[in-house]
Amino acid sequence: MKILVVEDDFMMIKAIEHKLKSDGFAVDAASDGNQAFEMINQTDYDLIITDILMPFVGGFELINKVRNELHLKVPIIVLSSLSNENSIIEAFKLGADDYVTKPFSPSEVSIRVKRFLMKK
Amino acid sequence: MSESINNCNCKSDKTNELSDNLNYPLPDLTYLREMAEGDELFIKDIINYFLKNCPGMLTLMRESALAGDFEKLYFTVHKLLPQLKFVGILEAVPDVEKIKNESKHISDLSVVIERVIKIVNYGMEDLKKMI
Repeated sequence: MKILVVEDDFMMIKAIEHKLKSDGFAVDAASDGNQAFEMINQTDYDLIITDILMPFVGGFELINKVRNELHLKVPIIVLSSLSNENSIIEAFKLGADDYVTKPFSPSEVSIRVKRFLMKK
Repeated sequence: MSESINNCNCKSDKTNELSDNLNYPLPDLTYLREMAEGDELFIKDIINYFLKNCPGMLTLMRESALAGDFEKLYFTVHKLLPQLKFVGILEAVPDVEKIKNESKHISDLSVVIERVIKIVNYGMEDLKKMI
């Protein structure tokens, strides 16, 4: 199972990677939505975890591209410091499947990831 | 390194223990340790990354506030906040959240920012000793 983590903060990438790799998943990382979009075009990911506020192309735009340009149904989990209702609603409207706010519990992220991937 | 990490374990368990710096508590590594799941190298990598990058973020915070660039200020503290929680410099969190949510309405913004910078700098000094 291969997961793409889209996050412009190295610390966050290392933290998420650390947990998911210990769970046995293969993990790729992209530092912005542009890079992520290119990677998604080339690789079939089983799940995408994305931040919202990133340089160049942010998470909302990435979700929109994945759903409406690539027409992919890959599960998308948003992992963001934005905890306001509008951001959460926007993410789900665009097609996100889950939303986790930072700081995150590694166990919680792990369970949420497994929940989606167990369905496959 | 293992001795310093053991000292780190001891220190971080004493939440009321004060650092040498002006009555601020030591960084609370509880969350980072939970994330690390026993991987001490992971902890060291995270702290080293923070120590390398945080000074630039503090400078950017100060400069964007001085320039009245509230958008840049918001993005800077938006990124800084989870990192502070990560490495346990929790004393700075209320002020950083205030800057993030209310920067345009804080009359003494520069005072708040300098206070954050002072606390975070002390926190970084403590983190350096912990690794």
